[in-house]
Amino acid sequence: MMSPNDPTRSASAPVAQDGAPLCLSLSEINALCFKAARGAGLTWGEAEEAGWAAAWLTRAGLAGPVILLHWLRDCATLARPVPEVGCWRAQSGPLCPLRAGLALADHAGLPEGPGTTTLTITSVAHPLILLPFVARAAKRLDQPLQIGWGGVEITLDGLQNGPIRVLPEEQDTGPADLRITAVASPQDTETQANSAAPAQGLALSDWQALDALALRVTVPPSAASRAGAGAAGDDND
Amino acid sequence: MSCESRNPMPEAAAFRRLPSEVMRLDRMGCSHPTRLSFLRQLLRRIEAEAWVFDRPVWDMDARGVGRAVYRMQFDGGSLSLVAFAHDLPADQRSDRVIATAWDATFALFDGTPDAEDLARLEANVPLQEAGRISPRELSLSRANRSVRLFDHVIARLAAGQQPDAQMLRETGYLMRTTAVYGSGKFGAADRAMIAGRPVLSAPFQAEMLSVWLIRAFTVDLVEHLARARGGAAAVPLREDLRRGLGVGNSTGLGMAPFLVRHPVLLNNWMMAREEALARVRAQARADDATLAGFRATLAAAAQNATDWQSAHPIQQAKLANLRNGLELLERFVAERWDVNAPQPWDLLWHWGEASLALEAQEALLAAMLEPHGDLIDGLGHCMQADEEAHFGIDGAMRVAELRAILHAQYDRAIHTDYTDPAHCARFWYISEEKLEPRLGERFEEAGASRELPLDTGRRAAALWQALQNEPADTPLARFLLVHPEHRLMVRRVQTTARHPFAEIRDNLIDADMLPIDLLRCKLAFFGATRFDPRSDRWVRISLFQGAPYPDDLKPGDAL
Repeated sequence: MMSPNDPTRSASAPVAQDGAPLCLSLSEINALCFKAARGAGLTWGEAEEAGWAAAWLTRAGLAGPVILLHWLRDCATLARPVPEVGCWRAQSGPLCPLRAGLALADHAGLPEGPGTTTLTITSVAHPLILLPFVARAAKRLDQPLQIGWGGVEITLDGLQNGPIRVLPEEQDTGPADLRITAVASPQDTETQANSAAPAQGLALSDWQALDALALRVTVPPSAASRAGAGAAGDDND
Repeated sequence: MSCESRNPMPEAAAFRRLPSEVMRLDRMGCSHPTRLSFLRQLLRRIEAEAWVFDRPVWDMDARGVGRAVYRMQFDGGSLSLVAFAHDLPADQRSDRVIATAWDATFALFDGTPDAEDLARLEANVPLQEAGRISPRELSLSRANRSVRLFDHVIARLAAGQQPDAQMLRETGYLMRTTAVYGSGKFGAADRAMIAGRPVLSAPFQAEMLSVWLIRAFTVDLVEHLARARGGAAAVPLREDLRRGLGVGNSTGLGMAPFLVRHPVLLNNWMMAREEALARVRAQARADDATLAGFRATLAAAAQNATDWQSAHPIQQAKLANLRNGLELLERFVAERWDVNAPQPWDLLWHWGEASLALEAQEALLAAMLEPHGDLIDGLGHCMQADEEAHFGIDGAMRVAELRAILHAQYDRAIHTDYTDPAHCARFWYISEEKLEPRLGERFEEAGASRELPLDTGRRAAALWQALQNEPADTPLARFLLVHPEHRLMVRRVQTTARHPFAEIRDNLIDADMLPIDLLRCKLAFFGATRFDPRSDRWVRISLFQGAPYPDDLKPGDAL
């Protein structure tokens, strides 16, 4: 594990100040989670979505990077959805929230997709990760969508959403059965300011875990790669 | 593009060049700065809005170690460059991103920093990547001295003499920046936080302002050191010599993937420039004032081509093409161009296409835009992008439609044989140290298993192949469920359908691909001049050479 203040290797390393949480910009969160998702084995296209989702969640006031990290830890065991009209389920085991979320947004406007009737998606792990994709589906449909599970009920429209309040005990539950319904009235949708929500710090240990995944997409240096990247001559001129 | 519906000159569309012509690396690698370049947009705004400059802090010792604040105040706020000057031993001077110390380090502060802000910045900014800045900062950067020129200028000024004009012209700057970070890097303000402010809405305005103020700092620093050495005998730098100095910049592969990773932004830059050219070509006639402006621009371009030196063989050949082309152009304009013919600019353009090398064709483009500010400057407002708004995929699109887009926009890519080692000789990757992008040789180096998805052409071809087995009416949502590996390329193809200049129409992993072509294109949009490659992937340039300074910006200066 690299030291957070090693100037030769610290391009992504925020300085830890006496154990205080790290404050990352949204673009840093996006970049870190993008690389971590790729490092965890997702395709590049999915990893881009994971980075975007982490930034979206953070902007909505949720702990985006931590939510992503917990999901990435069991990502390899989670199943893909099998979209059918009215109800999506996995062939076995809990569903991957990113793949379910992507399929949900991709199917917006199709018969299997959200909108026409209530859609149930059974046994989704880390369900908060679906929120950005429900918002994207709502935008595509031009219609607010409500997502609910357990005691959570959130309405998202296609515009900027947030801040979203989810009780801590609901934040990292086990797999949940989700209901997604189109709602007619946009009055009580949450609107997300374009500025960042109150910054949530990231614990150094969580950053380190994400960074360890992110480093899996990098290539260790060789003498040839170092030499080839710079100028052919000296900079002392 | 979002401005399309408000386009006041739809008739110019018939004069637009096609993406298949514009988006080739060899042509992109001949890009010249234009009046739409980002530093030009910045200077025009500062002049039009009469921003007020001052230097509230100058706390520098006789060795040139200390700090300074350069402030620009405008209606609604202020922006301040906070500069830290260091005493750097020569053996630590490197422009590479792997350097850990610099002659000077900088941050652009949102507002006017107080003592507490300065203390916080002093603890972090000199560390650059190893420090942290906050959302109050809009950029983080550093610069190294051009040692030979820097020392020469101090020695001469200290002795009451002016420096050698030829030496100044050859180098062109006292310091060169080696990275100017913005957009949320190292804790700085995210682009989304500032994009809504008119002052910062055009691309890279915070970065350009940083560099412009750094330029003023470099001259102040040499004059300070000359006074420290020469006392009462010392003189300031003569006005015309000062004007001729810019800020150098050293940059490498770190910048190259940007244009590939920001397709909508690239489209908007290209589209604005191409629309500008089309508007000029569509003009029914050329009036005398515009013609005079054009001739003056050509003369300046010829002078610039003479002053522009490079030791790199690729650039030397291009410079020969440029000088030769500008000579032909000046002769044609003086002797054979019928300015009274209908659409004379279009006539000139067609002559240039038939008679000039790419390097001179693109110089002609820049020169044709120059005297047409009233016609084209508004296009500067169309060069930013809300990239997030274009991020989603249309999963309801059918396979047949995606195939048709691929066929129309990626024809070259899908008909390239990527099993030929020459067509997949390179791979892009992120180095573990400093996380900088690099380019590897696939058949000679390890690491290709961690290749970045910059092989856009090969990915388009793979997607094309995968779609062959799909029924034409399958929605992409269903295809992507089974083929998540094509998600990235489906997004790009859909983006390109809406943004025709989004995709570079060349193979970015080809054995013959030159990364400096990507750098040249991006740097020209910044407004860089004196493009001087030091290898096929590393380049020095100059910014703001010949431009006014914050303390002498007069009306009409910032054209």
